[in-house]
Formats: sequence, C-alpha cells, structure tokens
Amino acid sequence: MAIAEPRKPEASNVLAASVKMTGVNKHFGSGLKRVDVLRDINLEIQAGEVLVLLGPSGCGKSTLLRLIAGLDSPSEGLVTVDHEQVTGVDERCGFVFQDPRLLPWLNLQDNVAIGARSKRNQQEILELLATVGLGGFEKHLPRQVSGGMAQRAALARGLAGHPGVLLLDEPFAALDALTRLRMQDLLLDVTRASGATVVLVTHDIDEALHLADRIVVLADRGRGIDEIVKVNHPRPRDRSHPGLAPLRTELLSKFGIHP
Amino acid sequence: MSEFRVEQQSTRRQGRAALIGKSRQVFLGAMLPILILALWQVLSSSGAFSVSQLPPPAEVVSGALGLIERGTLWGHIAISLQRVFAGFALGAALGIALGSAVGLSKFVSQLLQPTIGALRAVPSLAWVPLLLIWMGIYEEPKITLIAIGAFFPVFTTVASGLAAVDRNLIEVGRAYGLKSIKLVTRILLPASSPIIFSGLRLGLAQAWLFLVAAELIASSKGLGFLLLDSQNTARTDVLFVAIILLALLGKLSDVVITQVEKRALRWI
Repeated sequence: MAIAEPRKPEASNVLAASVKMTGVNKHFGSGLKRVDVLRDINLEIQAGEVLVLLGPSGCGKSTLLRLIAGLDSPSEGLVTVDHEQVTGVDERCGFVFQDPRLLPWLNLQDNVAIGARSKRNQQEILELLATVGLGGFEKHLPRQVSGGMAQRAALARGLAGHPGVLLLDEPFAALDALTRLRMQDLLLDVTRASGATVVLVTHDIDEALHLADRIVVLADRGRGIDEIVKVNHPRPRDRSHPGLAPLRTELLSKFGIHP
Repeated sequence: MSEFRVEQQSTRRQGRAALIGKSRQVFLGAMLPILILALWQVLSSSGAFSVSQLPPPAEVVSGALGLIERGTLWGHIAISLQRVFAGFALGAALGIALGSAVGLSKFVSQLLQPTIGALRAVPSLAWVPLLLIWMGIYEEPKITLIAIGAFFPVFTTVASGLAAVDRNLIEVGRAYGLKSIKLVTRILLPASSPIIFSGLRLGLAQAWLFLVAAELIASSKGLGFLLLDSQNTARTDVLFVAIILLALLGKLSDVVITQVEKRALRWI
C-alpha cells in the first residue's frame, strides 16, 4: 500500500501561543511514598518555537508535557498558555501520544473529527488528512492501516482543533527508522503551516537536533532542568551536517556516552 | 489483459472455495439433527417405547398441522414472542442503565453492588409467588419475571465492561475535550460494546428460560402453557412440537442478535 505524497500544507490563521512555567513542582503520592517527578521548573516557550524536551526515561518529561496540556495539574507553581493559567484540558493545546491511540471503531476521518472539536467541516478534515499524506484513506479503520499511517492520523487529529500549542509525547518512538525520519520532516512542514508552537518529548538526540530551536535537557527524576541548548542551525537541516556534530557529542556526553 | 484474466480466474476459484466451505459447514451442522431424527424414527417404530412416551416424527408433524388447522399455534407463538421481547427489552434496558451507573461511578458501585449482589443470589424462580401476589396472574408478573432473568447478565457485563475500558482511550477523549455524557457515548460505550453484546446474548437466552418458567406457572396461552397442557392431556406429540418450537425460536432470536452484533462490531 503506497502512501500518497503529502499535499502542500494549508495556510492557517491560528496564532501560535506562548507557554510559561513558573516554580512548577510535581509529585505523586504523599508521605513516605511521595515521589518527586519535577522540581522547580521555570521555563518560557516562545510562540512559534519548536522546543524539544530531552532526557532519560523516568525524568519527568512526559509529566511536564501533560501539565501544559492540562491532563495533570502541578503540585505547586503556575502553568500558563498565552498568559492564561491552565486549569484543565482546553482547546489551546493539541496532544499527540506515543502510540497513535486512534479510536478503533471510527475511521480515520471520524478520528480526526474528534480532535477538530467541531471547528472544521468534513471538507476541511479531508484536506487535513491529505496534508499528512492520507488522502484516499479517510474511510479506513485504524486496524487497516500501518503504524506510520496511524501516527499520521494522530498528528492530523492533534492539529485538527487549530491549537496554539501542539504537544507530542515521543510520537515517533514506536515507528521504524525510515518512517521516523519521514514523520519528522512532515511534522516540521505541517506545524510551520499551521503556525502552532511545538513542544516535543523525545529520548532520541538526533531527532532533537533535527527538529529543535531549543533543546531542554532534563536531569534525573525530580532534579529539574539540567540545561537549555539553543540549536542555531538553518532549516531545512541536513541530518549529517558537520555543524551539528559538536552539539551531538555534547548532548551524548551529558547522558554518559563518550564517542 | 492477461493479468486481468488471471485475477478473474483467481476470484472465481476463491468463490468456488468459499462455496465448498459453506456447503461443508451446512452439511456438518445438519448431520447430527438428521441422525437424531433417524434414531428417533427407529426407536419409536421398534416398539421399545409406547406412542405416549415417544411418538414417531410423522405424528409430531401431524400434531403441529392439527394445531395450525385449529388456528391456535400462531397465537401461542405470538404471545410467547411478545412476552420474551417485552421482558428482554425491559430487563436489558434496566441492565444497561444500572450497569453503566455502577461501571462508571465508584460511588454508585459502592452504593448498589452489595444490594444487587444479594438480590442476584436469590434463585429467580423464588420471586414467582411474590410476583403473583403483587401483580395478579396476567401479563405483568410474567414480563417482570422475564425482565429479572434478562437483567442480571446484562447488568453484570455492562458494569464490568465499562470499568475495564482502556484508560488510554479515555484519556484521548479527555484530551480532546469530551466530558461526562459525551465521554460515555463516544468513548466508553463503543469501547465496551463487544462485552455488552455478549451480555445481551446471555440475557436473551435467560429471557427464554424465564418465559417457559412463567408460562408453566400461570397462563392460558403460550409455548410454556402448551407444554403443560399437552402433558395434562397426554398429547406427547404436541409436547414435542412445543419443545422443537422453543429450540427454533431461541436459535432464531440468537441469530438476529448475532447479525446486529456483526454489523455494530464491524471494526473489530
């Protein structure tokens, strides 16, 4: 089954949103069982920026993302999107999970419609599916398409509601290597067109280097932000560009790997 | 062109294979009933049993024809179907409603589970005398008894099915702003529909069981009444007619619900 060539991304009038986290702590449980996941997080994300959260597993990067989405609330501190406090799930954010998590009883079109929150008509949903290269697969059920195609549909669902911030939790981790590279480029294309701010969680250093304007490196669980790295490199980026090599080495050594 | 012909041939071959498979299935499924029928014929004509114990198949057919001639058979079938349908609809609706409440809310579950568990422990036929005292001897106690029979399997499966829905799918719903009723109708019910359907099928089987119980106890019409009446009048042929009809109707209703299930669960 060949996947249709992605159509040129649509233009959008949605304004990217900024995100700010001030003095954010998050712990689960209490007393002796208390586990601190995030401690003293202060982070500002510019509107339109592509920010990548990088860190070892269990460092709390997914939790941080869920706090922005309003899926969890911080134990202390303040999370704002466009200077307005996040108090629960709201339509300013779109979320893409690690697994596609499509609803198996709905076809791809109806799955994307769930994310559209009634802000798009059927024609616009079809256009969005074509943008992510799924033209002609609208009526397919999730079980009838490949993992990569399902994740494309999940990406479309995340963008369908015209979010100011698109949050992605290791969205390509489960895909094969080639599909992963293709999806990274697709992500840049469609988010640039939609104008959304992107916050992406990954443990893949190359993915971070390819996508990010800034990389936030999280320390081990409960120890907060280790470092923020700016990636000053023009786009489209060449994955093997020697200019990225020193940064890669630096990041690798942070995780205890010395090339 | 030649490619096309190859494809056409292969679909024709596939069609033939499917046909063979289908007829094989029908043949295998029909084998046992045919054997039983033959055995029945042999036993009843061998003189080992009296006609009142085991009437030959032909006599059962003529018994059925006699009922049709007198015009009473359709009435028995119709009233039984009506009772099963009404009782099942009532019991299943209540089962879905209460099962949803218990499956979705911890509070309701803690409030209701012990009581419903205790009620469930009462053998359902024990309700009969009480139902007769409360509701008289007409349709109400029968339909209520059938509803009780259909209620419990539906209630149990709906409650456990909803409680076991994949948390990840619920989170998708939450992340895209679905709340309360919409979360139930768009995520929870579809996600648990396979198990709900198996509950409905169990409930339907129970409804037929309780129909016979209800009609055996107090009625002047229906297949259960036909059973009792034929026993009292020593018409064993009619008794066989009633049993065979119950088997056919029970199977037919199961086929209907299976077809609905297949359509609804095409996504699996």
